[in-house]
Amino acid sequence: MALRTPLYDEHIALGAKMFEFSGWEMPLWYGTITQEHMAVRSSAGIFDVSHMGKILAEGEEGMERLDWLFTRSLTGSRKGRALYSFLLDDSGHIIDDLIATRVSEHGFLIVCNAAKREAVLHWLSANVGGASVTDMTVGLACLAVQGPSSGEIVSGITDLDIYEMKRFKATKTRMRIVDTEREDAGEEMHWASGIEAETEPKGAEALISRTGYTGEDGFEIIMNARTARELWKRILDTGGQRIRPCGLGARDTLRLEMCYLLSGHDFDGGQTPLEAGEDKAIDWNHDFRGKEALLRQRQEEYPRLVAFISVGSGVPREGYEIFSLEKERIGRITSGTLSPVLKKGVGMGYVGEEYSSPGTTLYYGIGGRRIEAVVVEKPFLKR
Amino acid sequence: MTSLNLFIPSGGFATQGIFTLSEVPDDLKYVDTHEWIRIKDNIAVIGITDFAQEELHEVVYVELPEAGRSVEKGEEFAAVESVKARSEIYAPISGKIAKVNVELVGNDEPAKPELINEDPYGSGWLVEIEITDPSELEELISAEQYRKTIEQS
Repeated sequence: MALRTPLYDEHIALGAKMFEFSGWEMPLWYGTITQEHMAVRSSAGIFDVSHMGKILAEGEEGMERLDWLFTRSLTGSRKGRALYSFLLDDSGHIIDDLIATRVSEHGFLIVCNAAKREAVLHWLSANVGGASVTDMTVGLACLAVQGPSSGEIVSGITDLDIYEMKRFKATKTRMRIVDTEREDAGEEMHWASGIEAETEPKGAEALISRTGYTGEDGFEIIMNARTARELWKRILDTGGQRIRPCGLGARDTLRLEMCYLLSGHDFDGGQTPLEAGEDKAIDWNHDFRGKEALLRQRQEEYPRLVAFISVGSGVPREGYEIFSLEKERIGRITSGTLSPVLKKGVGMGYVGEEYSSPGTTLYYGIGGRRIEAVVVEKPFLKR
Repeated sequence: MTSLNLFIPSGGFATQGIFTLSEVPDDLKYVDTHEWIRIKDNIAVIGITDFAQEELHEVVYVELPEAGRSVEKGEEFAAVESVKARSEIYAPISGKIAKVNVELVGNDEPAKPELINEDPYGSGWLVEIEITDPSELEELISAEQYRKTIEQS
């Protein structure tokens, strides 16, 4: 039986097409993927991403070992900073990509992919003796408000000056949900009190960060599961015509236009961050598990995750094969779709370094089909 | 259609039971790969079902065979691309392609692939086939049988 987020009834009421994703019953779309995609690019969209794994690692002891597991130093970051990084195994292969937010002097909230929650929990628990590792996933909900209008919508329901908030920063605050006269809605997120903003003490506790997975300005709001429905409705009411509920279908096309990785697809246990082209999420001055393997790989040639655009009207699909100009098989597509903005088929896949320069002609297809494509600089959408 | 392999991020998809109230007209014949067939004398009009278009979601591109071509039952003869998936379409019966729905592919006018979503049993038809072997029609399933097929999927 699939898990349901606290917003399940809202999704049903909005007529969402539901599907199972990593053990959760999630909205795939409400209207159409294209409408939802374009709403986020031009105005705003709200996503229920409560399925994401939410893990709290706390305690002075064990912090060094925790730090060693991530490709960037968590303890080197300031309170309120949200860091994108990887967990690697000893051969440098990606276990998962995640965002770790420093919520207190010795506490980090780690948001990982839903399908990797157990694996990440196990990896952390087994390796950071001394620190406590707690799965907070079910007790917390997460909403993503994304798009150029997201700032004005979110600022309508909190006293926090969200325009002052920088990208990849997080603050604990309170959101003015429907019943603003109500007494404080809980004091449960004490684990994040290290980054609490001084605001009106009424409303629902929330951890807001200026992060997202769409390439647009936006906010991710983590709150107690029981206040999530009120907040979801309040954001939709406040946003009115400017905001649209969006499903995971649009979340996928939005992230792919930006070449953001999708766990289980663009990496599935056999690729390193170098191969995935994520060098920026590696801090070479920091010692981390898997670093030696990456240092060795840097001396060699290795496959690259390339981004390519169809020349004609074809649409690349995950699982299709990639061929060279000479029609030799050189790789496999890991993500593909029709880009709603570019109106072209776009895809990613791992190929040898010699095929990875922008401008390289590739072919892709399945069976006897061969569709021409050209390698481009990432991301597909230049911001 | 081989399969409705839609957006299946790690772990398959489950259709929400209460929302699969797809239209299945009684006067048509079906195949369990989600095509419908409307028979007028020796002509069979072919399209994809309401259930199929819903599962495929926004159709963005349609590939149709040339008129005049002969197709064998089971042959891959057309394809429908949506934002999330491509589905090959197999000929439900053998015969000669008598007519194709040019509105979908738009020869002179802009293509209107969305007709498949808007009106799958009407203006979203794909092709007309001149029936060569009427005995093949006996293998098609009724609306009632097709409803059972989609309830189980």
